[in-house]
Amino acid sequence: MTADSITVPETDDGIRVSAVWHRYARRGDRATVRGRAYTVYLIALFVLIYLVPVVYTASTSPALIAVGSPAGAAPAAWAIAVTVCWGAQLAGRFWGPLVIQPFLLHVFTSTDIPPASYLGTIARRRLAYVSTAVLLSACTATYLTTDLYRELGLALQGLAAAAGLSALAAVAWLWGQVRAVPGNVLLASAAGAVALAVTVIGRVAPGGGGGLWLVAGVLAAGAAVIGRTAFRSIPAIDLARLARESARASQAQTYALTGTLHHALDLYRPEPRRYTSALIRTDGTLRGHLTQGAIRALRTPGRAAAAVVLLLAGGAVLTLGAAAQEGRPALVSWMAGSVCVYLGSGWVSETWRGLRDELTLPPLYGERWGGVLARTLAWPVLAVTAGTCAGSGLALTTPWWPLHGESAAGTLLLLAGSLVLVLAARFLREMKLDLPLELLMPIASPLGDLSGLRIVAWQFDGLVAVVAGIGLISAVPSAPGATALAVAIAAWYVWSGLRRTGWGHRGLLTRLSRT
Amino acid sequence: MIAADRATVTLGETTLLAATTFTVMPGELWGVTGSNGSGKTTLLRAFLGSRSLTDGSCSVGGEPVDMAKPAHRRLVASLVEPIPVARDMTLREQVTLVAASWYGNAPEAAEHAGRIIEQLGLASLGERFPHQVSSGQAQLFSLALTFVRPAGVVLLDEPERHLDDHRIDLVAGLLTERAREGTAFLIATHEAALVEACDGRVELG
Repeated sequence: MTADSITVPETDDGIRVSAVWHRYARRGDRATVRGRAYTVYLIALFVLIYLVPVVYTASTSPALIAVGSPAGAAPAAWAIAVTVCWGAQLAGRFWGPLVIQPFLLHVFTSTDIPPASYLGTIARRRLAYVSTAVLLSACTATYLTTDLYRELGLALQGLAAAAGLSALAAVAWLWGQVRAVPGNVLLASAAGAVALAVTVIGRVAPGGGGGLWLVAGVLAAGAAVIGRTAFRSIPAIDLARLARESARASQAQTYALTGTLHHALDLYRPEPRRYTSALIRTDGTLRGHLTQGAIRALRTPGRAAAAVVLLLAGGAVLTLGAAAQEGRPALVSWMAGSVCVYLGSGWVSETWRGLRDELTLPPLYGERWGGVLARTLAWPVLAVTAGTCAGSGLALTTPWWPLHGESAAGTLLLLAGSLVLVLAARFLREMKLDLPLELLMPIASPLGDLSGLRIVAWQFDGLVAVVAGIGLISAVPSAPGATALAVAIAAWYVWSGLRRTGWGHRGLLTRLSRT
Repeated sequence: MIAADRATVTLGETTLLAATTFTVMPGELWGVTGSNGSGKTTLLRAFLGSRSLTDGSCSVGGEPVDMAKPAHRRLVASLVEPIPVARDMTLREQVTLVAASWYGNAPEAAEHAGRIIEQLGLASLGERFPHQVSSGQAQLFSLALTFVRPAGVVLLDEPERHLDDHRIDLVAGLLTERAREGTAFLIATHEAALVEACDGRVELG
């Protein structure tokens, strides 16, 4: 028997794909017309109540960023384009445009229908949606923050660049999914190289080398080439990998829709693969707490490397921000550095999770074996401190080090306070369990029910805690005072984190002394 | 039809599948038996291309296994990994949808779906959703999703899972009937009734 000898009516692939989509579209809880109309109604409300006043205010206020000439805006446009391209590729690696419902994908991949027949249409439709969304976002952002639309000629150049950017973002998203790692590294490198080369050409060429028109042209041409190649790669896509991605995305979507985004993000953590017997010495005893933490971090080398980069960069930027004189750039640098350290603190260690489990689940380890806190916090605290300090050391070597800013002692105090604050925010985030029901209670305000904002803040509470905390301590004029406030805020975060795990107030000290 | 020639899978110093050689011809029902960890599922995955061999070869229809080829996907049906289901579609809708992926919107699609649902005793459950059936009924549903499509080769991993004796006999009867029509079967099983129904057996471990 061969494949040809199996009795199947010679039905056209397109008809078979249509039949599946048709039947799937008629399933039980499909989106209804009324449901879609309600979504449109909500979007219209959002636009009328929030967006229109903001746009009006922006149109009657001086621009935050003065663009100057189109040639002067080109380097910034290139930087944004490269960042968007890399971001889209990265997004495609985790959740690309070809991800569909696992059941549907299983139905299609179990047939002899070529993948392009059922994935091509989805890809084209989703790329059009994403392209439109990026175009609208880019135009809105530039309108709100720059004076790009003050005259017609400049506005047209800006629109063309935004259109090129949206096309590139969409096809890079597809490329990120359909191409393997070497192909993605190639595109990322090529994007960086082209941006650099065209920027240099724009600097030396008379008249800025075309300004934003050149940006738009190169982006559009690049998008056409990348898109053509990416679509040609769809027939050869790794279906087993796509099935895994779709299953994971489906599960993550369920978590996200039920308000537990942190569980959804957990699904995208890399699986440990290396040093499988390194935690135990040859004589059968367990290694020390620090070594255990380091080994567990190195079992996911990519994640650990990203953490090191973030801690070093975050430490440097944070130090520069804390050491600089007062002003918006210093505060932005301080906050950005703290956020980087916060992200790195999560990626550098797996033991945060162990701490949460030990605080919330029945005891697994003996209480006297080194203590819960020593066992789980030794490594992340040491690694984050060392990484941030190393980053601060790097900051001293940069030309941006402010010679006339805060004193060294003051900077050191602010750095220590920020570090404690960030670690406490990480603790608060890692102790998060399921969505508390009280967050669903409405919050009446003249702008409507604000409970949605509170839920969003809860989803990203660690980030909110870092940004709010740094914002508060930056308002204190003296370094010792700011550090004292940072420690107080950190203590409150830790207390809130412990309350999340269910540790009662009265027994807290007793339990901590036992462990 | 399907053949393994010294098919071996090792992972470091661990042997997941010792060198195995056999051939299953069209119309034959073969069982793979052995203790836990002896390599039954690994062998089936090797025929699906989801597990690479470290030595030897596996072939389907005389060609090396490559599920990227439409011809191989047309030939091989399997129930080795859990089948994802749509939580918002009834059992009958889902089985019919799989049939439609082969027969389009032709009446044959509904006929094939109705027949296999009937044969597996799911007729009274056809209007239920997946969460409304027991583990055994869910297993029969997975078998229906596998059998509703045409196939020359069928790979099954423990089809008796969660089934009572009566349903196991039902499944054994269906496998025998399909084999008589020319389908080649390779099933990993611990169930004596299914082993008895087999024309040949590969003993692992």
